[in-house]
Amino acid sequence: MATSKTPYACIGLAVTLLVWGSVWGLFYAPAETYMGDVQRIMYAHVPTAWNAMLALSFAFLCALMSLWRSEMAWDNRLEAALEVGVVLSALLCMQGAIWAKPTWGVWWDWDPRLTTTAVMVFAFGAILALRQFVEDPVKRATWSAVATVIAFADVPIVYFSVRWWNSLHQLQSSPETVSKAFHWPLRINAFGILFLMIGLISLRTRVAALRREEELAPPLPETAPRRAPIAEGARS
Amino acid sequence: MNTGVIQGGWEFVWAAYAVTATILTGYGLSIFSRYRAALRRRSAAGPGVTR
Amino acid sequence: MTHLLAALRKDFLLQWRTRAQAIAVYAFGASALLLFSFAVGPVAATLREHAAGFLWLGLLLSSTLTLAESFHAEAEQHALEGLLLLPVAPAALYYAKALANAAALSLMGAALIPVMVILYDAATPRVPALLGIVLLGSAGLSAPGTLYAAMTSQARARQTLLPLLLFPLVVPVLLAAVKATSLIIHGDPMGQIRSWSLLLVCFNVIHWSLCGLLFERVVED
Repeated sequence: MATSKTPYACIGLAVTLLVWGSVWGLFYAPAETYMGDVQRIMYAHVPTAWNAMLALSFAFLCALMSLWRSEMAWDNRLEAALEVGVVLSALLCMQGAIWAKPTWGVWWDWDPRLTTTAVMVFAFGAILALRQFVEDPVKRATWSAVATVIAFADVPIVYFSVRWWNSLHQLQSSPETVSKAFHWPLRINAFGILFLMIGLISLRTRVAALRREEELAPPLPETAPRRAPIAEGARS
Repeated sequence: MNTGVIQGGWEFVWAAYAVTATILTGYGLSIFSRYRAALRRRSAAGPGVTR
Repeated sequence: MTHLLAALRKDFLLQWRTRAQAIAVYAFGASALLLFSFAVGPVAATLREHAAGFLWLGLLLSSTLTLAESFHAEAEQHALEGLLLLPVAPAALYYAKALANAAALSLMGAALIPVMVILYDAATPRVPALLGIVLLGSAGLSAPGTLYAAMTSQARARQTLLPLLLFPLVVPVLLAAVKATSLIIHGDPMGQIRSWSLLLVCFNVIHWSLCGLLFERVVED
């Protein structure tokens, strides 16, 4: 069990970068021509989107490795990456809703990206739920890896079907046109969330590893003090 | 109104940043506390237990 | 191939012997269709407009019951382990079960169509096209559904887990099937049915091959 301080260093660096990038984005970057100040949400939203995709792609990689090598280490990483990916995707949906309200006038618009993200939250969140209900660690590892592979393969189909479905009603203008002045806060925050994600995933992997250790070798019953209450309970 | 520029909206910007900061901090703290709890359980298992 | 046929025969026999349950599930689906109209209100035009969506939601809800029970016989008394001891590829077991499920769901979908027509006044002369969409949609539901049923039949809380895992995955099936059915009922001036059916076919190809490939890992011990 590695107990190095690397995750904490990552998280510390991430916090520094995020504060720097956000202050720049909020107070020093110029307001966008059409979007006005609302555009500043993008400095948090776009980096979250990139890193959510990255975390879930890493989960997919872990699932493939877990199926191929059948090592518990990959299952621990899978659990960590799935959870971080789901949290980031859920956060992404909330930011998207907050951005949609002043821009499109509604909290939720059936924009393909927003909708696909919501579907992903449920698809990958369900795998985390599945893990809660399977006691056998080997089966849990295989099943969640299989489910992750299938859910990941499903994401492009969901995206295209929603895009097709929605494009029949309206065409959405995309806020991707970012000019030079907006690049720096975006990049700094992207690296900030990247380091935060790495730190959180590695810390969460340790939690998973410790739990797995407990499952595979449960704490031995202590001899004298533990027995008494059990015997009492059996008698009553 | 006719310029097409969205006026104001700072409350949405603050809301977005507040939600982001709250969720990320809360999630980070939850992982940290779970990590500490798992470590504590392991050391509570006693030094006699070898793994 | 002979293994697949033998397994197929077993699964169809199982479906036939549990037909009382299939009828109960059908009653559930039909009553769901009835309830949707209460939720929307007795305006004929609105009901007719959403008929396709209601039909597919009804089928989706009942499919979770059919699928969750489909591995019931195998989960009891370790029958699945026994089957896996036979010199049969696990993929054959999967495809047989998935085909039997697809057949059961298509039958149920086809049987729900008259209910939809009567309740929502959504008659259409293009019955073969409608049946084709029902077949494609049922196949799309049963490919991942059978795999997840194999998993959840051995887990706790399987009645909750199966829909939780399945619903997000089959969003494309629901979208495409509802759109295509709706176009069949209300007319298709721009010829979009073909593209929606193509989407269903793509979903089926991807999931039938991927799930068949992965099934062995799910049931191995």
